[in-house]
Amino acid sequence: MNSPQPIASRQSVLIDVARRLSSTHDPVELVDHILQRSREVMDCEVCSILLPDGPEEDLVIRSTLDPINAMEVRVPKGRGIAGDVFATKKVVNIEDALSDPRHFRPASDRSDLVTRAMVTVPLLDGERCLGVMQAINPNQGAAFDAQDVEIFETFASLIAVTLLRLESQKKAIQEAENRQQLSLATEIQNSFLPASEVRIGDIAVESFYQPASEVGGDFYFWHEIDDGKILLGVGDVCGKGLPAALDMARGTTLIASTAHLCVTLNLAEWMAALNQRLCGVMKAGRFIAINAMVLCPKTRRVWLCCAGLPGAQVRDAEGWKEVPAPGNAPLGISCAARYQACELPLAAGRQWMLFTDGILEVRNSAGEYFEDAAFAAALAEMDSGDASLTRLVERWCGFAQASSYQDDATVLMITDHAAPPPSEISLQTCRPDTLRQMRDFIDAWAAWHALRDDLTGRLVLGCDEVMSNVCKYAYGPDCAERPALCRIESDADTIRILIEHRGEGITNEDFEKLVSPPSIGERVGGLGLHVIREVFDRVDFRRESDRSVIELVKSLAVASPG
Amino acid sequence: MKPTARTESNAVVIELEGDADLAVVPEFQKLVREQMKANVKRLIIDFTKVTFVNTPVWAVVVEYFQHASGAGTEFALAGIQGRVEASFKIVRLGDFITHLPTLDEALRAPDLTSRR
Repeated sequence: MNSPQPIASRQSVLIDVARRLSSTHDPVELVDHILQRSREVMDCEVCSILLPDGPEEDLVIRSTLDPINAMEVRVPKGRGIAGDVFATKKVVNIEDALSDPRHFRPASDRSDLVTRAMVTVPLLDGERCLGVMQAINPNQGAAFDAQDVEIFETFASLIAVTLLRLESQKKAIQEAENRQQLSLATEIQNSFLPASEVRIGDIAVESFYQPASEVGGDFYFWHEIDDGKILLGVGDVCGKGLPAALDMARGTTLIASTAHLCVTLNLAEWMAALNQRLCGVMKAGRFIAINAMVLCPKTRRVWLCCAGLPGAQVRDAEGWKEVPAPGNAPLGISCAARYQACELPLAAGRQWMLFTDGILEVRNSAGEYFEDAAFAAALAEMDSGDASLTRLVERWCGFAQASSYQDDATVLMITDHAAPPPSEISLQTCRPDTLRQMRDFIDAWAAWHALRDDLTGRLVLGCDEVMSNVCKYAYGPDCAERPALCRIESDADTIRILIEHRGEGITNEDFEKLVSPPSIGERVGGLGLHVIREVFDRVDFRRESDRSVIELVKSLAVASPG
Repeated sequence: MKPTARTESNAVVIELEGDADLAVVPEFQKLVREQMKANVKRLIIDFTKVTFVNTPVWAVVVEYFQHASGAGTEFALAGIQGRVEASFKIVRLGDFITHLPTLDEALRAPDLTSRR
């Protein structure tokens, strides 16, 4: 029979250990302390704790016996009495461990310890076994009794709680470190993005950028180029998370370092050059989709190249619509890829929007995609008044709130704040020295609408010929009242100019007669009417109440080859 | 700018500048008719500094061309470019009036009548 410590003494040790458990944060120190105190309480030769380690879940022994600690003994999963208790979660109390078939000899053979009696208890957290504890060779008696086992189990439960606390602390520290690293990664990634808003002359650029996690593969960019042009766009690297973020950094850096090439290269050529550089550095299977735009406020023209992202939107007088631009392959896939861009007048719309597919592909709790109806509804809502990106973003965020899946999402909105020139000019007195005002008016209107210079020149000439004739013939030299008005308007296909005056006009029949040759070389008069016929596709002379009206129509389809 | 006339080594040069429109016609026509009366042997109208020309101005040019053809005067236009060239093409005067890219070339040309 054993002569166990008095119960009061054992309780005192337990209370002391419990105190220590809640105040120690160093797990090794704590385990060593527990083992020492449990050996005192159990009054035995050795106490050990075996905890799973690594993916194989070998049990690693920590013991009161320093030589064993030094040997760093590992018990393979399921082996030995400890492995059995770890698996079954049942206490094993045996008098002769050496003769037990489960005994793991390599552990005891490597030390001088001769194992006799042994009690092994599981460290339990509910159904989960965190490890096992062993007391070996009682100093009094041949085996551990039921009271020993009970006190040892009490120790084990205390230790299990402590292990859980340590595990939770370790996890919290790890999570905090991860959060800090991700926060740093977010900060670094944001440093590759330009300011979220910018105003360059009359052009305002706003952005919305929402990575699916702390870092993402989406990006946006805008760069002022030396000749006054602006290169801007959105991009989406395939994949998500850190790998995508690294490629995003690579993409934005290459874009920034090649933006100046847009002075000499057109947009399609620049995209091809960027593609070749990306092909040289992107890993196989990775690519970047980019929709890029070059905007020239001076010439009021826009070039758009779409490579793998949803089509850009433009907002004209009728609302938002997709820009009919040719599609191209994403960048970084093939050096041989060719790129096409389309050229449009900036006046094709007051606002332009580029965005990544994450905007359209988000799904709400009902399983509907934003693309299905909500996107069009949001755009329609933006049609009333001054369309602000904030309204689209609010709609999108509200839609995406309960989404189970969300990709990185980016929008770039470009607003042209340039005041349009007047579409009408009224000359109080139509005289040779006031005709220049009308020519300047046509020039300014055409420049704002980004008409080609040769077309503008022809329109200016044609209108000047009409006004010269009004001046010379409709009013004549003696007429005192000589008002004239010129109004110009256009749609996608035609330019329509109306010239009104109070003098006596000609009829369409007169025009046909006057414009017919003799050959140009033989006549001095009638050249102006010939020019008018050459410049315009349709000319109509008519009388409306007290005014003579000349309607001049120019077809843009004919005027803009290629 | 008002049109001006000056005498070079082998020709009289009428120079126009800026927008040559209806407002310029009276002065231009006066200058051209003076050259008709003077019966100059060689006249060059220089458009190098001209940004716009309309048909009343071309009509004055045609008037002198018709005079020159009958009087055996050498006559040419020089420096037609940009919007002026577009206007010149529309009225197709280039089919029968001699025109050279620069005033210098016109002055150096040995015979303006054969250089359309």
